[in-house]
Amino acid sequence: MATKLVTERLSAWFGKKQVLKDISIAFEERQVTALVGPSGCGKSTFIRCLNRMHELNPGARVEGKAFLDGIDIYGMDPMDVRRKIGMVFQKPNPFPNMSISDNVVAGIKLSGEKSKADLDAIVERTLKSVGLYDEVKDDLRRSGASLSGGQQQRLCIARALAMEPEVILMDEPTSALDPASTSRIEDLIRKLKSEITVIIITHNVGQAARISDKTAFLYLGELIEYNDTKEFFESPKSPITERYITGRFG
Amino acid sequence: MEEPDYLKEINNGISEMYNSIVEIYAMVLSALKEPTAGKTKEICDKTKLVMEQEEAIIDRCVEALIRHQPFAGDLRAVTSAMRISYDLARISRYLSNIVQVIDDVQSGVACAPDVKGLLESGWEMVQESVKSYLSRDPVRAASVIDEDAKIDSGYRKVLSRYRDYAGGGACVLLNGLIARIVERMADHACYISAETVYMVTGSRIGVRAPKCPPDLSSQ
Repeated sequence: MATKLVTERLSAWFGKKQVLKDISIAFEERQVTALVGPSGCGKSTFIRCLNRMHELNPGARVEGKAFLDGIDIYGMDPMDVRRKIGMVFQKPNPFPNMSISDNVVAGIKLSGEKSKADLDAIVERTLKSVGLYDEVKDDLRRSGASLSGGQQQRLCIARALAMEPEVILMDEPTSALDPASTSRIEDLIRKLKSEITVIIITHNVGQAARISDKTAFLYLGELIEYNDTKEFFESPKSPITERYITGRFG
Repeated sequence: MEEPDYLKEINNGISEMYNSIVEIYAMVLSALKEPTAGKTKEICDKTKLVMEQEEAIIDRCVEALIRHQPFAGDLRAVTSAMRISYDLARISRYLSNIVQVIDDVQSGVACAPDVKGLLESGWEMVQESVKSYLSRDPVRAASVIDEDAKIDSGYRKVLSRYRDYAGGGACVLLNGLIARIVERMADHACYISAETVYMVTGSRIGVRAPKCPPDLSSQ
């Protein structure tokens, strides 16, 4: 399995407060990696360092290295990094004043000119890939905000996929969704890994066990354990991991 | 680390199952000393109870998997309890089979089994294995596994003794042992078939419980 994304002793701060401590991890290509850990352990900050969103916060700072296919992310144009490493957030956030199709291609329109035919083809392809096309094809001019929560989240994933990212970061993408919508997103994540690398934050350890190939546990800003998911949930090496995933704390 | 209540309940189930098997073992010892007529039914009924206890433990384990979705040590405890309950059920069947074999073979024949020492050593292993499980003691558990070679060696000694009998003793022994293995193999084929019926229809066929002789004591 090839390595897609690597961090070496990555640390992050908000002002003087250090929130990530020397995290070294290698994410494998076309695999789903779950990041788990109690609230405030640094999971969201960590993935925001991976697509250079952390530095957008006032007073935020990053040290250490992060490489995408061996190229230093912090030596690249941040916009280029964010195009290659897409992100889906916890709460579905379609642009409320845009139609479904405009939501999908919003990022593409910003990054360059494409013909209407090309854009229509991208809309159809990405909406199909997230299983939304048949549900909305009769009225793609509808507002994205008019969709159900689960549909909105799939629309946001389609928006991220439209940019043809190599890695997609997901920050608790199903925490605001009902069980049926969650199940559809989980199926989609499993499908996505045939083409891209997925890194997902989840508070639901059952979800991590269901959908990921590898799982990492972060605690107090440190990487405690990183292993194949089956091994991680069956025989964790660290007692802290064991206590967390068995619900003894967190 | 404190275990959750559902694991404590599963442990209690294993403990109760073990206590039933202790009673069966006492009956086996008694059967080795004197004719067993009338005791086969009693032991068989007790073995049936162990099978029911096994079913109850597996049901609890399945429920625990559904309701609690355990991980790590908790998950290992549930899966191990399922396997251990099966092993205990098999041990109770073997003990019951000893009495049945004594009944079948000893009838009208003067034969005092001379494998009591081997039986006691094997039983000690069973006791230690269950105690190591209940106390979560891997060192004690490993020492049980170390003992197995002694039982294997004792078993081979018994075989060699009969093999050296004149007058075709080896052949009789061989036929008996092979027939026994075939009989067990066929039983397991029935268990697999019963599981298939359960899987498809949801109905249980009670093939795992021993076929007890009719109770003649009231006639």
